[in-house]
Amino acid sequence: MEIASMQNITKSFGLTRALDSVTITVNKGEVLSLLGENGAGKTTLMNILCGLYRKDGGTILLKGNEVEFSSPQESIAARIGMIHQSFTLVSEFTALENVLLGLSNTPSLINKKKITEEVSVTSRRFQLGLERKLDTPVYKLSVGEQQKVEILKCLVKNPELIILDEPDRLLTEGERQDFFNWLEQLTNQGHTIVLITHNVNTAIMVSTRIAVLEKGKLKATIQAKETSRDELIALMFAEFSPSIHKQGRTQTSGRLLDVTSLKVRDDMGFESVSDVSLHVDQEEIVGIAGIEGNGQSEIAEAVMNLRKKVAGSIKFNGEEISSYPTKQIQKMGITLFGSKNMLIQPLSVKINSVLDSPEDSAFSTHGNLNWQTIAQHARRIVDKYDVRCSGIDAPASALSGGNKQKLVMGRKLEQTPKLLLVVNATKDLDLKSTEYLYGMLLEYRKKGGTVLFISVDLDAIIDISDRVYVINRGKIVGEFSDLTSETKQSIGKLMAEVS
Amino acid sequence: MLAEFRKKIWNTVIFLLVIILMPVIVLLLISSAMELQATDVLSYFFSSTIGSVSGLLSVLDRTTILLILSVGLMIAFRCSTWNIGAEGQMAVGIVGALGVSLFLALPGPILIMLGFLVSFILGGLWGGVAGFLKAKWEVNEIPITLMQNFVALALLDYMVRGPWRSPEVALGRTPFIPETARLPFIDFPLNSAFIIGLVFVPMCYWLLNNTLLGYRLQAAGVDRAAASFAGINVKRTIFLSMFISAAIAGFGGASLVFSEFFMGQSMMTGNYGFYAIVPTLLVGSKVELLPFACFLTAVILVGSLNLSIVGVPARFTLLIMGTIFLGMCLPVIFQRKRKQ
Repeated sequence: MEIASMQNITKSFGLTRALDSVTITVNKGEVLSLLGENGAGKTTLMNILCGLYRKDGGTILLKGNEVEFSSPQESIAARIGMIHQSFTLVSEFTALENVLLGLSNTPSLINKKKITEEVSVTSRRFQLGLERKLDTPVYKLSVGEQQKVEILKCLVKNPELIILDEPDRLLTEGERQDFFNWLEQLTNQGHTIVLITHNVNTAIMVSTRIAVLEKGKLKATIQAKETSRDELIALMFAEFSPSIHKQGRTQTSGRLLDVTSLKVRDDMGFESVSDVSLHVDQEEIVGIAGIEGNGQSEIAEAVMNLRKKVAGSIKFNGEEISSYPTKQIQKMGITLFGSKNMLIQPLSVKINSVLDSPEDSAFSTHGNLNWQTIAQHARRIVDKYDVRCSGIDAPASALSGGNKQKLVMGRKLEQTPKLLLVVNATKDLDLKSTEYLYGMLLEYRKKGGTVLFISVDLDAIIDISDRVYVINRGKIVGEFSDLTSETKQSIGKLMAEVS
Repeated sequence: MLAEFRKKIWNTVIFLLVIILMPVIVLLLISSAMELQATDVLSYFFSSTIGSVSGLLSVLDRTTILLILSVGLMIAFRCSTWNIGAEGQMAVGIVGALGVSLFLALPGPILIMLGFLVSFILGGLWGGVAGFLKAKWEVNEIPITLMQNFVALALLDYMVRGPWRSPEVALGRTPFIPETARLPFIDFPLNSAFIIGLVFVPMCYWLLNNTLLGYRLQAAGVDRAAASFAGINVKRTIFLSMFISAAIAGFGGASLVFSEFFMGQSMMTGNYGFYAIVPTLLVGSKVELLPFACFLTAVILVGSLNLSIVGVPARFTLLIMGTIFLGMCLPVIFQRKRKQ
């Protein structure tokens, strides 16, 4: 029996078409997996179903009736519940308090005993095992337990259709197996599940059916029993746009960056980079391909010493730099071009144009700023890199995403760095700005620059890199220097695999 | 462009009018609540402050210490470190200046310079503790600086009533500092530290807007993460903001010793470390308006303290002062809220 059906759903963000006429149906009691790379449109599709986003076109049928949700509350009323990828828990609150926060009709006077009773019953019924931990602050719970609190938050609203976004992302191998068993029981109790994942193995293991999305298009919907890993991977990475940028690489001369056995922890204290060794030669563009959150950005932050390494060595031109302050590393010619923390938003374009190097002798003498040369510098960046703004005194926050990144790119390139670390710099940008920035990168390489190119966009990596490393769960799992459409499939396979 | 400029001017004028009008309204409300003649209250408030030469001089005298302290606070606030310990930093500065001027037999000018220097450094180190804790372990500086006030005030109290107490008088105070180490009055009670206060304003303006340090303070103050990604040593900047801010407060303490009291006694800080927060918050990031804001604050301080003469009970003066400050800040709060 069909419980929900989404027909010809389209959705665009700016110039990017996130969903292109996607049709899926969800049957009662099944586990439907939405499988695809980052940016394939899986989460967007489900955000539309649960009322977070408005669709641009298409129809949604719930048990045969057309619906149009304008808020998550409406979808909750229709018994759809979504558990998002990033936790929305307040860590100082107890598990119970977090569950209460999620209720739309929290009573103004809370009868704690009664509510504890009710929540315990739900926890027991779904075998979440949280009954004894309801009064524990969330920060004292393990990641697996935190996820269960998130699930409990959803289940107390009594949903029929449950959407889970990458639920196994943070789980250990043991927790993962338990989680899959638990999912099966949930379906046995008559619930229906939509699982968003980029992991082929997960999809095969738990699903009844698998819908493969690529770049906003539905590639196929297959019975899980009748497919294989290779077939799914081929579908996930089916489209391959032949390289337009690629130019013959000049002979490289010498090693620039040499990272050996690097270990780094992320903000949560999790060892997100475990034993990474890689090197970058002069005038080379080296890509690091991987699904978001596999330790890529931590590598770049460790090179800049914005993040302390746990172990390993980082050598630049043969010199160990891992204990140097960030400023000194910048002065040696390494700079980071990322998607966050690049600009001080409320301050002017002018101030931001020298953010990396206000102490440069051109911009200040004896500790006094030379605003005239700084203004000239800002104007030069604005002209040369086509930064559209109302003037150099406009706050950076007034610029569009693409223009912000052009400003950052200009600032970085004007320092003529020896090594540019690019970390998801085109994230959330429209196609035009993305193309422009990639063009600038290649231009910079032509003039003798070197790039470590970290991106979740595999096409872009293959387009502009000379050599590619594949990272998965904090480890380098492959290296490719001959990049063709076949290698793309192998890279995709390595990215999506669970070790 | 021109229309925009005109609008900006117009907004500023209205804003200033409201700020000046608020104290008047509060005074009217208070006098009617206390069944006093509103005209008496207002006219006395006026004549005891800007309406007479002696009033004006004592207002300018209060403006001096407010100006020095606000300049210090401004430097901390620019880096989003909320120093509310100026009172205690001033007290530590007083202890430093007294220690130098009471016990070293040096020529006057050298004694004064050394006294200011020692106060500057002691104040800075005292406030630097909170700066260090914040930079190193992200300890919230507000409770730390607040609590430090009480410790520092107790220290000053102990010194002037204990080891440094003048044997000649019954009151708990130190002996007077040498005549040669006293800064002259411009016209009593206005002392020459006023000039120091005025010089501090352009210096602060220059520091915040035209130096590398000012650039770093602002960058780290607005967005710590982005500043550290740009290679700015955010921890050092936070520490420096606190150190400089506290050092200037310590310097202010020395100015009380050398130009106003010429000795040490308890309570001589007079809560100015707290009052100085008002003009600093009032002007936001505009250093150039600081003299005006400090002057206005001083008018209210002097005016409310003098109201007891027209029959307002002395213990109400603090209440009146607080209400006026609140009234003054209301339009500021609304204006900033609207901008967001």
